[in-house]
Amino acid sequence: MRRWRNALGLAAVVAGGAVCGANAPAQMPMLVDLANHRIHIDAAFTGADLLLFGALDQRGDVVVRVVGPPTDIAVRQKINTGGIWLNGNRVNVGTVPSFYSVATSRPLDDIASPDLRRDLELDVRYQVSADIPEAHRAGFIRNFTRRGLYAVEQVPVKIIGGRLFRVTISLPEETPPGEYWVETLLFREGTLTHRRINRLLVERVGFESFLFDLAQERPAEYGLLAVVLALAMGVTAAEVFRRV
Amino acid sequence: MEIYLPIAGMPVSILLLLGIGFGTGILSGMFGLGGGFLTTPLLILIGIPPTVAVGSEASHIAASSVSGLVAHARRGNVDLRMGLVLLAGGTLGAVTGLAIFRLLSRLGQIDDAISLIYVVVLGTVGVLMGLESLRALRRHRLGIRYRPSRQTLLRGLPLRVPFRRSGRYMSIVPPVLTGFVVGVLSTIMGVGGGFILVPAMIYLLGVPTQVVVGTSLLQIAVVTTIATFLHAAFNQNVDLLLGLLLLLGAVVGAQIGSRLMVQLRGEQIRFLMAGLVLLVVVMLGLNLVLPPDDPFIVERVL
Repeated sequence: MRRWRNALGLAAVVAGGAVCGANAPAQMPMLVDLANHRIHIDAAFTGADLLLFGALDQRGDVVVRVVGPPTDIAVRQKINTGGIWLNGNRVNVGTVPSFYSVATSRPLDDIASPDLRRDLELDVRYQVSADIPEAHRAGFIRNFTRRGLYAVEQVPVKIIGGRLFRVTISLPEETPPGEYWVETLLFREGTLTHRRINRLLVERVGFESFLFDLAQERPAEYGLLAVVLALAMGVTAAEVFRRV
Repeated sequence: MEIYLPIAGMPVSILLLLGIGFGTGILSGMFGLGGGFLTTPLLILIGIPPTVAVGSEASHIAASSVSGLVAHARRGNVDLRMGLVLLAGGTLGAVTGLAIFRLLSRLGQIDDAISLIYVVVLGTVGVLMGLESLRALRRHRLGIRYRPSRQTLLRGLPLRVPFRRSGRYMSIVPPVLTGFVVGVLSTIMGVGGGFILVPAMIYLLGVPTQVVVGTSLLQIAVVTTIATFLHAAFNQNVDLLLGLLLLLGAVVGAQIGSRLMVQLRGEQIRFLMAGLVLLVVVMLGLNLVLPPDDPFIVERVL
């Protein structure tokens, strides 16, 4: 189903490019869109693929950055104390993106100079405060990378015929709900020439959203529901099994 | 087949949760344990955030212990008076435990304190119970009748009342103190406390093993029901879907467990329980001693 939608999306770009091919490129160096502007987290959610596609008026390098809603994080280092691994002091990392992904059409080193990359805060380490010990900072980035929440230069932006491009960014199973910014950057000869921003909404739907909202907004009622449900299930089971 | 858990914020295999619930249910019906000391670490192991694991586990244990409690009550294995006396002490203990928990949290060492308390308490309980049950099993093989020792130590205490179901006539001071200590430890460790309560009732109070199981479930059911509500109302960390899947497996397991128990002798039950407790101690102990894959742990700040 998802694959089929992707194919449809790409076909639309090709068609769009053909229709406005004559005049669009002059005003629009780059066109970008997402196959889906909303990603639904339902009971069957096990992660999703985000397809972004676009067109260029002439050759260039494309960088796509996806930034998830901010979150507050702390890191602890386990320290061997007399043969036992104990938690060390808690280090507050501060606010970081809960998701961060950068995809590029060529290696980032070839696209932009270190200075430009720092100005754009492209590398993931610019997203994490430098005020904490370097080991903790690296440990945090390693942790989020392992969980698929941070991914820099792990998938390529494919440029087709120098004009069309597409990239599929995978959102892992523990993708945090919220508002995502999808930023597409166009580089030519090492300078940033164009930038487009698309908004992506990751939201809980259906039963998932009902339970989550109830738990957050009416915690006392939710607690009572949990207790009544637990007691009812326990008594029911005992009754059912008495007759077996 | 996977299902997305709304509060935990991640998908988990349905069969895995049903299986964990089923296994815990058997323990709960058989030994009078809630099984939290086993399930909570397992849930954390499969990636559920620790706070959500603790909160959801409370709802699951409440349901499975009620199921076991009803089954045991029907067979007359619950000493209601003993249960109420234990609960009186347990409630006081829980309040005290909460204060200690807060103090340790402020000092920033609650996680390690919990792990160490687990290993020390479970290790002591497991070894003592294992040795005793081995002796009892040997006596049984040699045909010597087992007589529970009458604790002369506990004689002469005031407020003696008859505990008919347990076949004891004793002061309420020891069970209140037992309930208190269990309440303190179970609040700090975030479990129902059955694995401390069951051996304490057998060895300190001299209650027959069959009655111990039903009576301990009474205490666990009450404590975890309160805990479920408090977690949901104040921490928003109870995942009902997670609890529901666990307890679907558990209610079935609890019934099977309580049947299995009837077919076993007291010392056999105690021997199996000792083995299980020691297994968890080894698991937790290795976790403390073996070097971690990555020494850095990430926590979400709420």
